[in-house]
Amino acid sequence: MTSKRRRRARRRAGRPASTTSPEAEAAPPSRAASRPGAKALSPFPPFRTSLARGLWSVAAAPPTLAWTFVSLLVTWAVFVSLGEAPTPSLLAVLLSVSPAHLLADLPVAFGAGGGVAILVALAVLGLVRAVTFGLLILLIQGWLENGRAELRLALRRLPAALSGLFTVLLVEAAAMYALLSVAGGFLGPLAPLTVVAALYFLAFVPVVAAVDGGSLQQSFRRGFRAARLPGTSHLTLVMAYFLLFFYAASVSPFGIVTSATPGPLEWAFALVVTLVHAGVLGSLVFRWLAVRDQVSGDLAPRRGSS
Amino acid sequence: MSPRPSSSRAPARLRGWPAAAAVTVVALGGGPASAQEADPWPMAGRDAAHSGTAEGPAPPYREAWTEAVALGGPVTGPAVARSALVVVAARGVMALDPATGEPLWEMDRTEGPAGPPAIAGDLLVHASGSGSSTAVVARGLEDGNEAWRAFVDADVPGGLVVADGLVYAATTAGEVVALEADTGEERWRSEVEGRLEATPAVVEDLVLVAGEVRQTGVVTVFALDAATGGRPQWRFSTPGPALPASAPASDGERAFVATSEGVLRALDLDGGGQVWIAEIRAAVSSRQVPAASSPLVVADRLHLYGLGPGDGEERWTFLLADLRALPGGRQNTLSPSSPAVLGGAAVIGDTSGVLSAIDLDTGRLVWRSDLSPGPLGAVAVGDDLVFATTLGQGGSVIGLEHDPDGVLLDEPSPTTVFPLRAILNFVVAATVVGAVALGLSRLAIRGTAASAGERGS
Repeated sequence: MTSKRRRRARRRAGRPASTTSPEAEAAPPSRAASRPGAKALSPFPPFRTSLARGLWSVAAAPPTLAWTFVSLLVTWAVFVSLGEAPTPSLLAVLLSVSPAHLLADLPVAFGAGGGVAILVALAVLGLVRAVTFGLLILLIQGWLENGRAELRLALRRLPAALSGLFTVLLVEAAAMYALLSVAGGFLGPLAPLTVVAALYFLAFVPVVAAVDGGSLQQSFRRGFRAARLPGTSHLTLVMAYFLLFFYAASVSPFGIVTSATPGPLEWAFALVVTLVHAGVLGSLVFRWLAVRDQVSGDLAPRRGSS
Repeated sequence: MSPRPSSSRAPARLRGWPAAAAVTVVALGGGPASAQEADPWPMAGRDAAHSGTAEGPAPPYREAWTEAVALGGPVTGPAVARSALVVVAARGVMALDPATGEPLWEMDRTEGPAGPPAIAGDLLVHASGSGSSTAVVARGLEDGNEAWRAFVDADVPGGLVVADGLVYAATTAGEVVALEADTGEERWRSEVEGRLEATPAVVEDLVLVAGEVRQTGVVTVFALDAATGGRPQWRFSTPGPALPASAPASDGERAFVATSEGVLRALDLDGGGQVWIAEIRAAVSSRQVPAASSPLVVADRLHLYGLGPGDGEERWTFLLADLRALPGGRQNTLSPSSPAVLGGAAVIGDTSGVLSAIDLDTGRLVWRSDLSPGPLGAVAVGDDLVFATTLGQGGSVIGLEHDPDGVLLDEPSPTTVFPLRAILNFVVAATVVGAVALGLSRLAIRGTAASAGERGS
């Protein structure tokens, strides 16, 4: 397939169609891609389609939209109770996609005291994140698969997803802490760049844990596997999101030092940025649903052969 | 509403005999004058140990007088004697009548870095010049005539301190120079590691300085024995980069120093061991002098803190500066200012020209006034007046008196969270953003459906 044809094929695959299932949006396995030396075609839906569907899955469904907002308020309240009143910049990245959210969580947990206090803070934050992310992912999944975000259905499925998601988030917290500690030693102020690597490899893991359940090992294996599918589509999404994350974290129209009680404008700014975070999470859910069978199918024979 | 502070409460706030005794001792040791004749604010931090505490009028205040300072404008806060208030300007020194603000005299000074001057009996001492030609100059308090001049060979950016008949100057070459207050004769000179940017503190024959090593960023607090020619008694180094550091201060038992890695430390005066450590939320400036009162009042670039001197427990914090951009490329901070504790309140100015008073008991703002568009230096206290200094060209000294008709405020720090207010604000914002998001997504769905219909037909 020539590059022109490939681009045309991608455009066809990228056409927004609300009625199309995520699996249908995924690029079909290409014969050319399987040829030795050929440039692999990404199985993910295109960047713009993913982002549009992700944003749509949040903004067009009132229950999802409401839960996104409530999640921000709940997370803010937990931060305040742990002694950290978020600034507008922190507020804007409070609901960032896992594991970028750990850049907000880890300093708060480690500022809570020492030893047991840190562990308790991490556990509290992990639980809150598991509930907020879990329900959000399930609502998004419902909308993407059935065209409806049903709160009751999502709530029924949440307990099953909760323990897996909680464990995943705790493991991610430990991994991020280790990564940032090691990277901080030789990358210095560039250490946050490791977030790109963490996002690249781990972004799918909580989605897999919430949508499919399964063991911790399975969630990580499938998440890694999805991230490492051919093409640069996932990397593009991660890089674009990373830039947004740091823009939101560093640019605040409200000055550097503000009141600890957020005003309506500060909340509005944070809610708009949070919508984008949730939209990116929606994109990841959309992409996971598109490649789930392929990833699970790839894994099955491996398990059988070992 | 917090209880209205009264001027008579100020000395009573020094709870516990060690702090009260220390303040009394340093006040007496600050010069040859007796306790009755002690000058109200003879040097940076009020006395050699930097108690920062004086009897003075309680808030609210009103302007009693304002006197413009020529000679390039003030570079630092004033020193106050009974007979004169002295302020160091960029190119001179000016004395004012503390009661009326009337100029008494003004003298030229060679330009160069300088901290607050100090008063030693009937002499005033200040830094003059820069680099190797830097000198400590003594002038008659009455007429401004030069009494003596001693060269110290390097910049003296901090204030001068007078204790037990000696004038102490700390230089950027890392030297502490002790001069006879009467003659200017050099008694001893001691070299330590690092630059000395801040005002030294003197307590019980120990001279406390904070050396800053630019290459490593490490701050080392040195305690030099004044009785043995400045021999180091102990030293304490920060574990990592921490500069700049505030001036040291002492309550007679501990030395306090704030450093810019966000830490305030109390060090044992006997051996330099760390007694306690408290977190501060922003960097500090070497021009800032903590007030070793009770509570211990410390400023960083943005906040004013009240802490227990014995355990470092934070009693209150007030966010006073917001880093907003000011004319001339400046930011609003507390960097050039140091607090004064009087009348049951801690008073401090910011670089936007706002002077604020925080109640020592409640940590709430009880008074605030926008005095000028220029930055305010360290606050000083007279018998019945509080003195604020506007720094820089066009600066002035402002005398403030208690305003019996004024109204006290009762404002919490902006760092206080009001959950109900926050939730109400959230509901308003979420309603608007939610409606817009839903509306836009519905429009998008309609648009997509229409285009799909067109394609189908």
